[in-house]
Amino acid sequence: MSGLGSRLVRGGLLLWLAALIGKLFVSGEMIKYMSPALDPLTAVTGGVLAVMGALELWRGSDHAHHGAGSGGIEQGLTYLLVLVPIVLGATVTPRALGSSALGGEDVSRLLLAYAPSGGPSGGSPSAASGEEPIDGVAELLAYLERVGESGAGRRVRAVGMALPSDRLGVDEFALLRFSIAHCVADARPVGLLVIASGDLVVRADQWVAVEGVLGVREREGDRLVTILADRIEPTVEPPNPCL
Amino acid sequence: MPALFLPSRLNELFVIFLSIVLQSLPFVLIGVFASAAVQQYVSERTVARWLPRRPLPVVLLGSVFGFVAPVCDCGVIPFARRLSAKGVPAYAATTFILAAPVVNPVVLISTAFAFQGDWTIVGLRMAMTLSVAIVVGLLASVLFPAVTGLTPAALPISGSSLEEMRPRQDLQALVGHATAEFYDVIFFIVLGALFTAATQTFVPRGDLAAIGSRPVGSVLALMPVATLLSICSEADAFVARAFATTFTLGAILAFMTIGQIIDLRSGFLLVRTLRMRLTMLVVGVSSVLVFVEGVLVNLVRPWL
Repeated sequence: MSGLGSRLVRGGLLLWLAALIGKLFVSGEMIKYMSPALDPLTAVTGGVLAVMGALELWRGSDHAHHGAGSGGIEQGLTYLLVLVPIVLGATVTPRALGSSALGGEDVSRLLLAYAPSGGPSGGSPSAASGEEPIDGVAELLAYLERVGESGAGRRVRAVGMALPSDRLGVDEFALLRFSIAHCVADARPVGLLVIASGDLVVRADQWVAVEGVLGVREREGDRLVTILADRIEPTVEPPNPCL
Repeated sequence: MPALFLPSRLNELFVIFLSIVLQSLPFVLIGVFASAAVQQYVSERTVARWLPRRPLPVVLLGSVFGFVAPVCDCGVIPFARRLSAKGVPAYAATTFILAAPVVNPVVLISTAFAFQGDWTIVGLRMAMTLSVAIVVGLLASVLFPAVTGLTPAALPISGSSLEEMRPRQDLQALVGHATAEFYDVIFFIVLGALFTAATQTFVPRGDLAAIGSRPVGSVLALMPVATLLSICSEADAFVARAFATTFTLGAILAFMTIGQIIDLRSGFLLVRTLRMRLTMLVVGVSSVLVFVEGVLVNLVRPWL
């Protein structure tokens, strides 16, 4: 590939990388890959890539500078490999991680349990039935961190992926969400035990909205955080599937 | 363009792969621009003039020189060769090659960022890298004192020839340097992201966890992975972070240390630059030291 041709390809790929970042923001898909806390940094990255790409195209006539890479095969492979995330990111609609991301681990081993002490870690219990239900898994986790097991009795609404298991009862399933620090690569599963009050018809990886009362179930020495559900409905994947 | 939905396993592979690429990009950019700025604005003559001549001070200085010349592992060899060509001893340049990719502000901050502000990990990473660089540098000064310079480059290395590194005083040239270096490293970033995503997707977590929790086995397992992945020092902490839930701290530190010293990407260049005997010293001493230090961290960690 000539110096000019190579520079055009390099500039074009940089612009496409920047466009991919823009597309992910505009389509709302960025949240499926990265924590929103990184959005400003990612946006600046897109801007810098765009400037680099534009300058590389503009410098097209300056053939001598930088030689546009090393060997031809290595150069071609680099361009092809850079194309992979661009093409995939542009064409694939990402979905949230599901049970396959557990890497074969049984979900019953990932269920959230109260701290061994059992009592609140601080704050006051608020199990009064008249209070507003806790709405959302993230809010529920923050609440449990505050009040611990004494939060039992509080109404709760939560959305997650249903995950039945042979190790759970026929009226039970795990409500699964993934928590990320920065990006999906560091996702950690969080499972909440749900016990249905009536007949249970959910399939694995189905998004469901659960409403019920917080409780406790003892299993193999652990005191599991439990939602005693009086309503379970299929729902759509939330815009931000990660916690 | 019609939307494409992948089966769950492939979706997982793709989402993890792209998330690693996206997360790495800002730090790769910071690294390549910092490196480009050094190439453009710091002359090798000035740098060489400030270096002492006795082995110990020059090795110590070479080990922390990355703070003022924050080049990543991709740019460090051409830069070190330039320093060597200006009279910096080979053992000092070797120390710089081993230390600078990690012991520099960009990489230390990105490591802190990846590990959510855990400065213990940042400090341990720096200490492990410094120990290897200093020991290898001092051994080289004793064993190969006659080696005065690194092998000069006859051909451009990874897109950065000696001619290209001459300072040019404009923003356009700076971006040009950064772009050239970006294309030198991006291949390995994308490849590393693919490898990591495939590992996370297809290797049963139970198996990884079983290896990863052993104080010796976990270190032995992750060291070759780091060499195979050959991830740039600005981004490797993010990949290491993904292993942090299944592997021991010693293994994670060994991964981040050995990966910047012995990797497939710059291995050939390292042999060509340092000559075979010095390269063997680097590989042998680094492997043993990193392994021992990784295991040591795992053994003393319960008492920390």
